[in-house]
Amino acid sequence: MEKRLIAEFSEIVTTKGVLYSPEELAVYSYDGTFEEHRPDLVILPQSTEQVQKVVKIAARERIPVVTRGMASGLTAASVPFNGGIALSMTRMNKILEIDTNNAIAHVEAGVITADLQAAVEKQNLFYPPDPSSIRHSTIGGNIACNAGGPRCLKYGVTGDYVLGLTAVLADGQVIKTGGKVIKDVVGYDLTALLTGSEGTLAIITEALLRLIAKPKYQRTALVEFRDLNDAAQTVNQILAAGIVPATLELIDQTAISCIEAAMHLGLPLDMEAVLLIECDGSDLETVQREIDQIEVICQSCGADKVSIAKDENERTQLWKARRSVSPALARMSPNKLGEDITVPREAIPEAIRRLKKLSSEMDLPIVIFGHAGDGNLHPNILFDKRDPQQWARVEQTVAAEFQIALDLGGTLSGEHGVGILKRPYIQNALGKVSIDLQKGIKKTFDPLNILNPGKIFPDD
Amino acid sequence: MLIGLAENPTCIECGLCREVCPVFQIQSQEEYSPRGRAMLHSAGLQTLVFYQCTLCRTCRVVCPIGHDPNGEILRSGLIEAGIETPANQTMIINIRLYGNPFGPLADGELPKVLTCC
Ligand SMILES: Cc1cc2nc3c(=O)[nH]c(=O)nc-3n(C[C@H](O)[C@H](O)[C@H](O)COP(=O)(O)OP(=O)(O)OC[C@H]3O[C@@H](n4cnc5c(N)ncnc54)[C@H](O)[C@@H]3O)c2cc1C
Ligand code: SF4
Ligand code: SF4
Repeated sequence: MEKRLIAEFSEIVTTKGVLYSPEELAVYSYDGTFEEHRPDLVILPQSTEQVQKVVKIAARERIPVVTRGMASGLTAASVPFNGGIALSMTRMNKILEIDTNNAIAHVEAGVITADLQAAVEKQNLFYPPDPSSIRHSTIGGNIACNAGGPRCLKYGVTGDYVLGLTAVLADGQVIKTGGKVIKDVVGYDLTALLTGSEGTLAIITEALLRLIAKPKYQRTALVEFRDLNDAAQTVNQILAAGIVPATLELIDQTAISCIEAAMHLGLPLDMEAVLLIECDGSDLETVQREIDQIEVICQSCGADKVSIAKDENERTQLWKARRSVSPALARMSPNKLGEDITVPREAIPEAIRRLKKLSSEMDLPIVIFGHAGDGNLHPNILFDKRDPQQWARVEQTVAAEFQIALDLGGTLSGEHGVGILKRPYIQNALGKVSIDLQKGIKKTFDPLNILNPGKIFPDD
Repeated sequence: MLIGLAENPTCIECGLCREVCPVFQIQSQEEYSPRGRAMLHSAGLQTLVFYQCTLCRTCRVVCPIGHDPNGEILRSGLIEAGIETPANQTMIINIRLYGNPFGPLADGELPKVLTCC
């Protein structure tokens, strides 16, 4: 980047807020995927005003601005493929207010999600969205991807907790959407539009987040099944009985053996699937009754064994197992490719059947786990990229996985987003009418195409 | 099917190690994270940031593939390439001149300043 521009940016964010040595550029060139591209400059702003000033110069000079949280994304959405500025939000990490009367938190976008949760729980409040990356992702990134997690079955996704946003537009103006009110129907819902927009419409600098009372009691069960289909059926039986557990996670046999190899937790290796089920609430009797009912339903659906965690320690162990699935898979083969297709929950058994069939047709192991309760499955293909024949089959398999989801009335992604990796497939999922309309929205927000260019939509 | 851990496996960029690295907890900036170090190393870049590691290897414990941050090896590469901190140079000069890293010491005197890289 030209010296005069670096000087101009340094005046705004001080020299400590601009990075441009080769090593600094290298570490802002990737996210949680294998994709890489270096930015020309890294800027670390500390206030909305600084972001505004930076964007104004970027607009004048037509420089791309790619906002970045903690770069834990799984779609290369924060990788600056066109160079330009990587705008790292990690220094905007203040919790501005925890308003206990209204149960609302006011935070800067760079706050790490786990830090917010810890802070509100001290006040006996609760911020439910819990992506597995909770300790290494930001609120801004969670909002920009509308992140979900195991607890979302009962509590909803990130977007369900965003009441208002402060954001910087592509011309440097600041927009405030929503507010500290629970109901708001004045004008279009721009808060919802910016949620999930992957940094392509505006740069989120602050958020107002809804909090709820912290559930006091939890009961957690691990249910073993000899037949994966029975496990999938059980999910629907539980929900049909009117019980909404906080969590209803499915882990298949391959995933179980990976976790066991990595963590030695004593999980059953001869079972086709396990369900991790957690009920929570503020009334112990109700929580206990629900988990007892779930036990009966599981047994009538063919479960081999139901074990309920006796204490907090056992519960922590079970959760540790669930959280380590994705990383543990990394030890199974040189490469893995995980998707997060979502189907209507009634279609889960069929989706699993079709994925298994696909796996044997393509001769590639597909590990299945995920948030079965809300139909969000994470099929992970295990392969070795060095083998060109395998890689060709992987690409076909991914396309087929997406087709399975669409055929069953589902969608490509439940929580990770599109970024660059799912771009080729969205035409099929959304159709031309929707894509043209959305491209129009992008143009209205960002006529110069400087905010995270090239993401989400295929090129014209 | 498990990959052996005898060789140091290449970082898969998942970022999990950032949850535990004490240096990253303080700095909150990618270049101070185990993932950042691994990526710098594989890009063939050498930087003083390599000194910002306590060599505790906590990152390796949580890393799903057991990647070893190899802090010592990264540092030794720096000295070879002549990338040094002033403290580093002072220690080397002191050793040459006085036979110890602290500077002039009277017989039996204990060093008042502990220099570290
Ligand atoms: C081990 C692991 C587990 C994961 N588990 C889950 C999971 O359970 N559920 C889930 O939903 N996701 C999960 N993810 C994916 C990822 O963590 C989430 O998408 C997360 O929300 C990304 O946050 P981030 O701060 O890292 O954002 P980044 O990766 O830095 O950025 C992601 C996108 O958000 C945009 N962005 C970031 N900050 C802002 C801002 N302030 N304003 C505007 N745009 C912004 C970026 O431009 C980019 O498009 C996981 C990832 C890993 C590596
Ligand atoms: S060995 Fe270094 S990089 Fe790893 S956790 Fe310790 S301080 Fe961080
Ligand atoms: S060093 Fe290990 S834990 Fe850290 S990013 Fe790389 S693979 Fe993940």
